[in-house]
Amino acid sequence: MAATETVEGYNFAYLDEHTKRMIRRAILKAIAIPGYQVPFGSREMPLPYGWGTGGIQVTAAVIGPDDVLKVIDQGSDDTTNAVNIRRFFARTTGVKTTERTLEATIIQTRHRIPETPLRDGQILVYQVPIPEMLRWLEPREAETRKMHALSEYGAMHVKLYEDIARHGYIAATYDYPVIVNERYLMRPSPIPKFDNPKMHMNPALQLFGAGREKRIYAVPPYTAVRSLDFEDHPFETQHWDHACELCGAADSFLDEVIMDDRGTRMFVCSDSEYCLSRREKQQPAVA
Amino acid sequence: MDESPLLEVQELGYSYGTRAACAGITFDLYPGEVLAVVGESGSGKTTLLRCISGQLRPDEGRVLFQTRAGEIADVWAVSEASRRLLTRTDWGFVHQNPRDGLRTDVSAGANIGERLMAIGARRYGNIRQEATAWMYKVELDAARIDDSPQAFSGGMQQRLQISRNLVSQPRLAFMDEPTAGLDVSVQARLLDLLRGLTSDLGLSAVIVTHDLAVARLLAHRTLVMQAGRMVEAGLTDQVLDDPQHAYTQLLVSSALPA
Amino acid sequence: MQGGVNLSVLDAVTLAASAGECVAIAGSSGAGKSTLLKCIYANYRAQAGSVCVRHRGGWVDMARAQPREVLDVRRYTMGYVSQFLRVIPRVPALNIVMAPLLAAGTEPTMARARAQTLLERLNIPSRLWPLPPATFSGGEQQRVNIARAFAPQPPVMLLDEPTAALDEVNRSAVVDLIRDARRRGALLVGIFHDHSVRTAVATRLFPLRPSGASA
Repeated sequence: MAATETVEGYNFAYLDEHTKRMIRRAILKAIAIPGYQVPFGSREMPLPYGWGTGGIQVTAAVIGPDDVLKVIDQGSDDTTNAVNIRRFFARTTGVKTTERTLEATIIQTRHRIPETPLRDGQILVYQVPIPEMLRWLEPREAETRKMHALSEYGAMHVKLYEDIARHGYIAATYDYPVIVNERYLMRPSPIPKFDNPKMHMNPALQLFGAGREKRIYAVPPYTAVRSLDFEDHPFETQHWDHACELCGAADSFLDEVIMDDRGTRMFVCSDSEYCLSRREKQQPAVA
Repeated sequence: MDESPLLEVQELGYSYGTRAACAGITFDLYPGEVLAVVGESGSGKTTLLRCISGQLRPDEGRVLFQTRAGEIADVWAVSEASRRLLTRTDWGFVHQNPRDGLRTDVSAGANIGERLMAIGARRYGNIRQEATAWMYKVELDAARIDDSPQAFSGGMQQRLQISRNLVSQPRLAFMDEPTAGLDVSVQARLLDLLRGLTSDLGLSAVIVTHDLAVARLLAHRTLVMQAGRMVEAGLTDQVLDDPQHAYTQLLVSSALPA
Repeated sequence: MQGGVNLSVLDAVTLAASAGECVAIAGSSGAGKSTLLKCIYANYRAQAGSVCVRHRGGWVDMARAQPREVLDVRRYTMGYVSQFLRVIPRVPALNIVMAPLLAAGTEPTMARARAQTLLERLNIPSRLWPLPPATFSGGEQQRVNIARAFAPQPPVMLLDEPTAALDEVNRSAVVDLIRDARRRGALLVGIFHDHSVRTAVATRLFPLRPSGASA
């Protein structure tokens, strides 16, 4: 990817070293207690809350000059949010950026996990809007913390029960609750539940940053991540009747794209890099 | 007759600042017994109920509860985890206002099933079956299992709240004015239901009420409170037919005849 | 009742051997007849003396017993026919009569059969059984009350003017019930204003004079 010129006058990765150290301490604690939400002193960032400020701070705290950064938004490398964050780090660190999942050492993501399996040594940084899964049950923060402390999670199933009662199946499709390391209930950020199984025993380190809510949590490599369900309504991921119409993949998360004013539809991979790399393999001559 | 008490309250006291809301309260409750706590507003009966049901830590005294395993738990000395477990399993709490005790944003079935899920039920089919059975037991139309409690009348909400509490088969229920705010006809139905449930399930209950008629019809024993003190206690019919304390006499003579 | 009660209730088991007894408390109005019954039932607390009743193979002093002991005596040993029926408003008559049987552990179908027999004997038409007694006449309510007290066949029964609101036919039905109870060995203590009823059921008169002390 073409190198962007770095800017003068900013510390490496924008944040000052004290802040980075503070965030790293929070990250270490989060890794030590998988799934537990660690409060941290979230800073003002040069973009608004809701645009990935939590993820950016986590990335800024762990990135080094030798890292290779990939940023995706809903699986795509070239949407506004992804482009801006990638450029932000390119300009404030000078690190190499990439769209290749396999090449990246750090992948910051909004709402997807890449289709290409991650490997040892990679870090996946999630942007998290609301970290507290129990919030809908209980509005008081002191009470939700107590519920986490005492593993009082049974009532979480009420939400799933309600889904089945209304729809006949668990209709939640994203932000689907998981139990990490058989201990803490965790909100996986609004990734599709299609991606939930990828979190389980993943070789990569998964870090979650919520800027507005000032929380960091983590799933260390090779940690059990179990999606909540009922014995008679087991967890299931989405299925499509189609394969990707560009690369033919039958195992990836598909986006439905409207092609014209007459409502022509097309199903394509949400992960644009995965789609492209498959097409390149099929047809090495593609530009 | 040689069984031991389910609940023992010893010299319990709680103060708001310098004002004692209740003081020196001592009583036992045996399995299957229903105890009414009567007194006018501000007599400290709700504070007492909150102290013995694990919601408000008393300043003085002890609350002992015999758990299912037969052990005596000092309610305010055990860990918070154990205390919260008690409130979800062995105890029930029925609020005066059903909306305080219900989740109004989920269906009636989910409301009843919540405690089951909280203690580990993971089969949707069983939870639903149990919820249906409980709707029947409290005389709610089981066809409305997926309706929101917001669409229920006050009396129906109260019955839903009761079933939601009893589904985990608690051994002790705390009720704060369970029939207040309901129409007279609905009240009668609810009283009958409560009496049936307590006797069928062998449930013990502490019922706070200002209505002596409720005490007479539901409670084996009655405890009269005035200004935070227990002024009289005994068999309900003794207390109401042969009141010894001047305050109880006033209370009894002030009640409108039915 | 100043001065309290000092009364030893006879052992029901012994009475069974002697074919039961029916004691009629006699005395003028205000002599404390009802109070005496209420003290025996522990509805009123006797301020002195003791009321001993044979229960579960031992003696229980109703004046000193713990509330739950009193309840146990009432559940298994001692029945009481009050002057008025006091029940939860919408409960059907049949269920009211069944309730003490169920409380004492009788199997529901047996309890139902027993309740139906009693209501029949007391001439309550079966169309009234599923209805709550609130709308019944005074006499009908009183007969439901009697049926409820006789249903569990307690060894000791206290009767406070059981026939006061009843006509001739129903008075004799109640007399029959009392005689049956005696025959199975129960002890009955009652206040009977109606002279003919008293003569028909009482085996002994217990005269009560107004207490000398005043309050």
